[in-house]
Amino acid sequence: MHLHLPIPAEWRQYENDGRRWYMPHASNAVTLVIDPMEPFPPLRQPAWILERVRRDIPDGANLVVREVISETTSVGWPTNVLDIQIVDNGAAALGKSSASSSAQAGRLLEQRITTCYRFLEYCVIAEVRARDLAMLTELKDQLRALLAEGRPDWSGSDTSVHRLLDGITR
Amino acid sequence: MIFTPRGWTRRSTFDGIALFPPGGPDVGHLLYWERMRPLVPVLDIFRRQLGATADSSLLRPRMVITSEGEYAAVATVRDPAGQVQQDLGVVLLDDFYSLLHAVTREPAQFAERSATLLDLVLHDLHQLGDRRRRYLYEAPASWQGRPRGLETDYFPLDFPKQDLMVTVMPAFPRPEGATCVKYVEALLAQQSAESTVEDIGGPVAVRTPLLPGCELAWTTPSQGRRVSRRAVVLEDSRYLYPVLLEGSSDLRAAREPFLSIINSIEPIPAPRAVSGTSPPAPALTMWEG
Repeated sequence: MHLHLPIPAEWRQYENDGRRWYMPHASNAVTLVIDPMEPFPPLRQPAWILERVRRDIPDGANLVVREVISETTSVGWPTNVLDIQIVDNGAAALGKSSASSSAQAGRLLEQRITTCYRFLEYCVIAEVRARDLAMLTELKDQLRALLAEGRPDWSGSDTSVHRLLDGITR
Repeated sequence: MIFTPRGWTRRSTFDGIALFPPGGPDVGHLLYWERMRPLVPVLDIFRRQLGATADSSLLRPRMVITSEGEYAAVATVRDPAGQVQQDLGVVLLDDFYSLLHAVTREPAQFAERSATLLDLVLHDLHQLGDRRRRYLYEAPASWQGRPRGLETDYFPLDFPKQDLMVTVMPAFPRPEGATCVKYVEALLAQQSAESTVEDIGGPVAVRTPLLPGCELAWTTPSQGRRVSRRAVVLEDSRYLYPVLLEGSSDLRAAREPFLSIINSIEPIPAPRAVSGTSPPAPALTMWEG
């Protein structure tokens, strides 16, 4: 079970601990991290999502969720898209449009765009992580279009007798 | 649970049972584990069990049915020099399986060992009885399946845009007097208690190549849309086999995958006496050795 995305063949990728990492650019300044598909706990979904997005935060840094938008994929799967910033010193997040106030508020370490796909009782988190905002701006449309094509791939999980006996002579 | 073939010795291991043929471990051994999880395709189980000890591409497994009517498979593979034979067997149960693995280092005993393993598979006892069970049918090629307990839901790849879902439920042991008609009527009564039910069609009798049954269709309003449902329930003397098609899209778009499932449903094998080269020894032989 995993998130299916039409990842361009030229993107570098590796897998670690069940998570898939994609590098759309040679610099590694922008990465796409895809978590495994997991059952979505029905009674504590917001807390579950927050718990997931709080992973991989450097010591001394803070995660700030600036905006959460509900969207749907091209075939209609519901998603929550979180605009997240990782800032140092526990300071306030960068302002969306004000560079001067941002500089006073805290240093931006990483910009994240986190897409939480809801596939019935399952959830997958796909996170764009950018340490270079200019590069993120350059790749944003491509990444957005890519993420909109997300759909579940449940292959490998089907335990029908037919599949269990696949390749067996009768 | 497997019996101990006559003349063999039996030892418990920390996670299963080891059997040794006359001549002891030098000649070969047979290992048995039960309640193995997770349930994965038989070929994967066999490949993982063989590891690097044999060329798993040479495996030609065949399906068998145990004396309890459970689905099972056996396979044999030999090393290139023809000096070592490995026999494998698996019995598929609800969400687990039992596994047998025999290694034989005496070529003169290869055929006999395969027969012994087959015998043990055929008589592998679990005594799970009549219960809700998965069964054989062909999954629709262009849809993808997602298990939910003993049920499997099938979706088109562009779901939920194409809002259609086929649910293959486990076979349901028939209570006394239960028929497919009573089942679909109960299904409809349950729906009627939960929401408005409209456009009821049926029940009508249907027949697949292997099983008779009946079909019922209805529509319910749900969150501002109309959800259509079509339930087909096949039956044999022991089980009911319910399959449900539902969605707010035109159900005719799912006609082909739905019918391919329905028409390919095979009845659950009944427990029966199975032939074997050596009938099981009395149960007490499990204590020998």
